Amino acid sequence: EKEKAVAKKQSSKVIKASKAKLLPFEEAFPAWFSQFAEEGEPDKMGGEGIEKLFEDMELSMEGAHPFILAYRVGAAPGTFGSFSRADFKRTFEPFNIASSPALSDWLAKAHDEIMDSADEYEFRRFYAFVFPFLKNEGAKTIPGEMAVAMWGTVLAPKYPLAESFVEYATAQGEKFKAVSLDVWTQLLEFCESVQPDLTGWSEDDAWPSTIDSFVEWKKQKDGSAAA
Amino acid sequence: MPPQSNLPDSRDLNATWKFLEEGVDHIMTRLNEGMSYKKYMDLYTVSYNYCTSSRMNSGGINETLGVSGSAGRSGANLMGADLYKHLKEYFIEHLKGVRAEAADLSDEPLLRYYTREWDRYTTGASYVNRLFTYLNRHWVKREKDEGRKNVYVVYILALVMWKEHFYTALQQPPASGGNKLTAAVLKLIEKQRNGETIETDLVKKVIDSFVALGLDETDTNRQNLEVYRQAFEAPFLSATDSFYSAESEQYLAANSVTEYMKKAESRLGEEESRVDLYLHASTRKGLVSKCEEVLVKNHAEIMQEEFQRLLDQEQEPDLHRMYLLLSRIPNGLDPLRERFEQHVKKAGLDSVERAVGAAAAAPADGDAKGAAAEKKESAVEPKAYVDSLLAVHKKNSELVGKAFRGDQGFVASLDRACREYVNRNKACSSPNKSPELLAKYADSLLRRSNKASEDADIEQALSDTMTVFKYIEDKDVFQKFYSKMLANRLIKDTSASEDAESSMIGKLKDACGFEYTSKLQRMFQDMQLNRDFNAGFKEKMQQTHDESELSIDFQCLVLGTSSWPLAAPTAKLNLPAELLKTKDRFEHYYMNKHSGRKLTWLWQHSRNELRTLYTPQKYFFVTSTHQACILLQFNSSGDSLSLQDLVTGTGLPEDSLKPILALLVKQRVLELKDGMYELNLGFKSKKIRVPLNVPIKAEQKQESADVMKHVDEDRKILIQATIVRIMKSRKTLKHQQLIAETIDQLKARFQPRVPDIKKQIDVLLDKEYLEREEGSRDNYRYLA
Repeated sequence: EKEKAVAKKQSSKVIKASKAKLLPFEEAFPAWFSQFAEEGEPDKMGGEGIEKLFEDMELSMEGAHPFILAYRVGAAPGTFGSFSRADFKRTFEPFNIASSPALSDWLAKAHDEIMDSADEYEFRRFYAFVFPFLKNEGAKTIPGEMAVAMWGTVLAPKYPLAESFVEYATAQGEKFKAVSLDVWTQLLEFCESVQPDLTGWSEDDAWPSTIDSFVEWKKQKDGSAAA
Repeated sequence: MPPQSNLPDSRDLNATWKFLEEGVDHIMTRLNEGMSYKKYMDLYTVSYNYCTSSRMNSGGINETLGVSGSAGRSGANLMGADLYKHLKEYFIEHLKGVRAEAADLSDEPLLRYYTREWDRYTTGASYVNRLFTYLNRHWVKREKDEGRKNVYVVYILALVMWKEHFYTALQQPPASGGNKLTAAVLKLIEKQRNGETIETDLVKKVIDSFVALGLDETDTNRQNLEVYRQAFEAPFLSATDSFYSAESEQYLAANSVTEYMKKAESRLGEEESRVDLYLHASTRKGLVSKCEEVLVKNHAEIMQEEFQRLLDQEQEPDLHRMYLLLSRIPNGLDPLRERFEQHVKKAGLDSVERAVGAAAAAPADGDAKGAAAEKKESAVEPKAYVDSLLAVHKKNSELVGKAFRGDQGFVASLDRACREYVNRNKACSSPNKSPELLAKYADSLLRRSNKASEDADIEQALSDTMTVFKYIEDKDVFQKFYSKMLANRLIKDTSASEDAESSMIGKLKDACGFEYTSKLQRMFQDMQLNRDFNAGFKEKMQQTHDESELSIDFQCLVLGTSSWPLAAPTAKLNLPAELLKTKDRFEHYYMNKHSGRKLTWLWQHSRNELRTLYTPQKYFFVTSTHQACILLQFNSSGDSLSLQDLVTGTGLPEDSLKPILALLVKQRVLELKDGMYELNLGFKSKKIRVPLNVPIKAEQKQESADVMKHVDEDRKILIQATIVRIMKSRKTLKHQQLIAETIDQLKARFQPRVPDIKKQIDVLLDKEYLEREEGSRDNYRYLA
């Protein structure tokens, strides 16, 4: 009952970060999380809750942040669109993060570590995490639209080729269907090992045919642009 | 011993030699005068006595006579050194005279002199040799055994002397700057090459002497061709080179290439027989290859350039000659084979283009059946098309057999060219057109309407079909069309001959294996089973039903779904009561016999015959079941029906119904009046049996498209199965290797495209039959 009261108080007013810090984690966390929890499901944060959380953190939902958060809290495969209280608690307790501004700072740092670091390893792990995270349980693929959006957010800022690929996939429209794990995985390989002008690509190589089709498209486009 | 008294004392060298010298000279110079046996025996005896005298005499004399002192080296004292020395001096002296006489001679007189002297000298020497048999056997032998050089048996000594004191002088006259003897021989040979008649014997003898003079220092029994090679072969080959270089240049300047080839051919023949005539056999190889170089290789290009013209003009003998000539030099035929390939390919493409052109021109004169527009696609008649392919193959395959002696390289060129023009030509708007046209051609041969009625003709035409089939890349497409058409022949009972059908299937089986034709064979088996089954059904019905109930003559073909290329109808059909009863009876009968099977009725393939009772003249309408269902509606529901009535009555959707009705209206069986379909009660036709079931055009086109869709589906499965099979045995494999092996395994069936294979690899990766090996991008691993 006490918890509830605190939650109400916090949600009704804008709370300053300094004030939240004063409370110990065990007290602050439940109150903080419960602001975003799904109605009737206090252990789960749904779509609305996530939106609210990002608003609170003054961060955009559009970028890679939500996925980096999911990656860092160790979200289970197929749980795209929700967060679990247990994941949050386990992840943030050691850092004593129990407020939106604190999380915002932490997330910004995580974003830099993954997206802007010279160390490719962390990024590869993050990229590999995304596919199963997005995929529905039992499905082999993720919808093309979803994959394209993801690549736009995650890959395109790092690789010019990925930017072209997103352009290609978008141009295909309906024809660009579901994306398999292989295409997902190989696209990163492709971006890492092939130059933006396609040097390093060979039709004899084992690229998935989706990537070959992209190369054909790009060659034609670049060719007609040059002419 | 009285006889000995006439002969010189064997201890007296001077007397002995004097006696012997006179005899030797007789043999050497006057043998034609003859020599008595006694004289010869005396000479022999004297020479023998002298050589054996050492054993009877004290060593003192021997010492004074041992010129070289070599006798002292061995234990036994053998006499002979003095004799040998005298003999040698005699030969030297003798040859001085011979040489002197030859001094002013050259050319033919020299050759004549040389050969005469050679004959005389060698004959004499061989007799002299026998006189000194004892010397040869003992003194000479021992000298040689002890390793002394320049000691020979007497005959060889004579030859050595000839070589040193006559031959060498003859060959090296410093003044005339060349080998007089060789020059004379070469001059004579050149005369012969220029067509003059010469005494070949002269050449042969001189050359024999060259061979004989090749003496091996260490072993005189061994043939040594040193002299022959140096004095004759080398200058001869170089003379050959310049002679034919000059001749071929001149000849080509004045004559055509074809004439030149005849010349070269005969020259090569002449030179080969020259070897047999008077050269040493070892020269054959060098001479032939020299001639090939000068006559063929040096002019190979100009001949190769002539090739195209000869092909165009079909000059078979000249082509044959060119083949024989150029096959003599390494890689000489390669450009020909390449050009031949291009030639055949072009001929094939042209031939097809002519056939297409003729087909396009044909409908313009007159019979415009509204087909002109539609002809664009399938312009070429299958027969005209296949004939156009075959004509080029036949002609060029004969050419390969005759002019190029069935040479493997040319066969390969022909095959490559045929493969190219058979699969990609003017008539093939898509890569599947060629197999389709070929299948249609086969269909036309095997259908009953076919004109080539003689069995032998059909057999030949089927073999011809197989000739083209061999080159078809997409054999799976052919298979699909063929089985479709075979199904049609069997269902409609239009097959001309069962023998011809099974002969064709046998041929396909030979070409592609059991699997390729197994479905076709099963189709035949089904037909056989059906004959018995229908008879059984009929019998049963007659037993269990009254005659009046069996007003319909009914026959049914039960066909295995897996072997027949037939699809179940998409539209539902309400059978009219007239037919329904029989259908139900048959189903009942069938299910009794084979429980657990499912019967699907393929109405679109069945045929009905209806008898008109409403027309003054009674007609039989041969109809499709759909047509029959429509017409039978007029039995039950009146003479004027709306489209909606018919939709309700037949259960067919409007879209399917409309074209069928349109056809019936066109055939004047029905009349369309104010949106109502009415039976034309005044129907007239010249025939009593009226075939109404002509296929609708759109259906035909649809059929081709369907076939291709099936082919594509089959290919995907086939590619996947092949990949899985390969990976199963290899476990892990590199991408490029997997692609190569897949193509290799499938190419007998069709030419798989790499992107298509890749797509199937994608599918197998997704299905987790394969995975990419960790850490390596282009290695796959099979997942069991």
